[in-house]
Amino acid sequence: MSIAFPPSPSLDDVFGHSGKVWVWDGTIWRIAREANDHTDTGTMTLARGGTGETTSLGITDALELPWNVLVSPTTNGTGTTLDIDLTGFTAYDLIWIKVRDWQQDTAASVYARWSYDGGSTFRATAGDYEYLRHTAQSSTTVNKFNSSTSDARDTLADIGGFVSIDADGNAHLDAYIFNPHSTTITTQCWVNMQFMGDSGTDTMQSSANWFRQASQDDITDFRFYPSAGNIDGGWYAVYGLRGT
Amino acid sequence: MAIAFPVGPSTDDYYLYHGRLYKYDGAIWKLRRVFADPAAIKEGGLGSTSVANFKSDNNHGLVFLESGTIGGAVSEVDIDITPYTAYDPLELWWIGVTQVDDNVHFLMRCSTDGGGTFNSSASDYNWAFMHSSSALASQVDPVGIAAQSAPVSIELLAGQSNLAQGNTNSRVMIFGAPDAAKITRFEIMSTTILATSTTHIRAPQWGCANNGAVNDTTDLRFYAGTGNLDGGTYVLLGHRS
Repeated sequence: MSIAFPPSPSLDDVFGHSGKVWVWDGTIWRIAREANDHTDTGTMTLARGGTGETTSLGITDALELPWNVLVSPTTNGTGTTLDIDLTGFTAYDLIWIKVRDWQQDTAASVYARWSYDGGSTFRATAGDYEYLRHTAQSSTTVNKFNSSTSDARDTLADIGGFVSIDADGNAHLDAYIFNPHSTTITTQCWVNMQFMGDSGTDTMQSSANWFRQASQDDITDFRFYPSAGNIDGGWYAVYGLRGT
Repeated sequence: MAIAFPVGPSTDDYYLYHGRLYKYDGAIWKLRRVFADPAAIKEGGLGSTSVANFKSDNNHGLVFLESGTIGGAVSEVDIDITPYTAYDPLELWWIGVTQVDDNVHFLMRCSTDGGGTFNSSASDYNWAFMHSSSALASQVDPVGIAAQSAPVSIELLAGQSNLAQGNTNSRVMIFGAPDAAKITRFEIMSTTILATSTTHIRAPQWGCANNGAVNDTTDLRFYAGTGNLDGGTYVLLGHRS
C-alpha cells in the first residue's frame, strides 16, 4: 500500500493514516508510537529541557489528563485535623479531594471547614456555611434529608454520623469543590462519604452532603476533622479539573 | 507527573500521547509539540479532512475530550459530540454557570441531525428528579419529586439566582449517545443557589432523563429558560467504550 504523505512538510509535522502516526524529522517520515502501541511498563519522570532540568511542563497540563494530580497520595497523620492547602491550585475550576481509609481514635462525626486566610483560621461562625445532607444506613429504612440554615451545625459542615473505631471502622470521602478560588460567585461543595457506624450499631452508612459558603471569598485551605479525638489512619490525594 | 514512556527507546524515536509529541534525544524524552486540539491532526492521506482517531486508540480509561468557557452573555452553548463516538458514557461537568435573569431554569436539548435542529416537541424527552433545599427543617423527605413525561427540554435544575453568588454546578453522564439503536439517557446531578428571594442552596437536583427517541444524539444544547447564560465552564470527559 502506498501512502500519500503531504508534500513539503515542516519539522515535527504529524500525519495520520490507517491508525498509524508519522512525524517528519526534517529528512524522513518516522513512525511515532502511540500510548497503546506498546506494553512496556517502565516510567520516567518528565521534565522540560535537557538532563537535570526540573521545570514543569506547565501550561497545557489540563489537556494531558482529565484529573491532574495536585497532591499525590499522602498519609493523613495523627492530629486533630487534616488541613489541605489549596492555594497552589488557582488554575483549577474543580478540585476533588479523595480521602480513603479515614480512621479515628474516638467514635465521632466527621466535619469539614474552610479557611480564607491561608489556614491561620478556619471559618466557624454561625452562618458561614449552609448545607443539606442526606443519610442512609443499613439498620433502618427511614433515611431523610437533613438541612439547616440557622442552627449550630451551620458553623460546621457535618458530613457524617459517628464513625466506628472498630477494626472495620473507617470512612471513605470524596469532596468536590467548585470554583474554590472564585471571589465573584459562591463556592459549592459536594461531599460523599460512606463509613461504618459507631461500635454500638456497627451499621453501614452513607452520607451525601452539599454545602455552600455564605460569601464569595477565596478558599485557601480545606479541613476535615473528627468532632472528638484524633485522626489515626488513612490517606488523601487531591486532583484538579480545569476548562481553560 | 509521570508518563509511561516506551522502555528502551532509540534516539529520535517519537511518542505521541494525548495530543503531545515527544522525541527521545538519546537521554530523555523531550516535548516537541503540543496539539491543544488533537483533531487538528488529519488522517486519510493528502487533502483529507478526516480527524485522526487517536483518542479512540490511545486510552481505555477516562480521557479529556474538550472544554469551553462562557465569556459573555450567550443564548446557548452547543456541544458537538459526534467526534466522540468511541466513548460511552460521556461525562460532562458544568462548573459555575451563571445566568442573567433571576429564578431561571438551566436546560438541555438534543440534536440528532448534527446540530441543524434541536428537538423541542412535547414528546421529545422524559425526566424525573428528586431534590431538597437547605431552607427546610431537619429530617424531611425530599420535597421535590419532579417528573415530566412530555417536556420540550431536559431540566438540569430550576430556579437559579442571578445574584453574584448564584451559580450552578452539574455533572451530566450521557449514556448511549452514539448508538442509533438506543435511546440516549442522562444521569444528572446539579446544585444551585436559589432565586434571590431565598438564596438557599438547592441540592441535589438528582435524577435521570432521556431523549425520548431511538436515535444517534449528535449535539447537546445548554441554555437558560429565559434570558442568557453569562458565565461558566464545561469540561467534557469520555469513558472509552
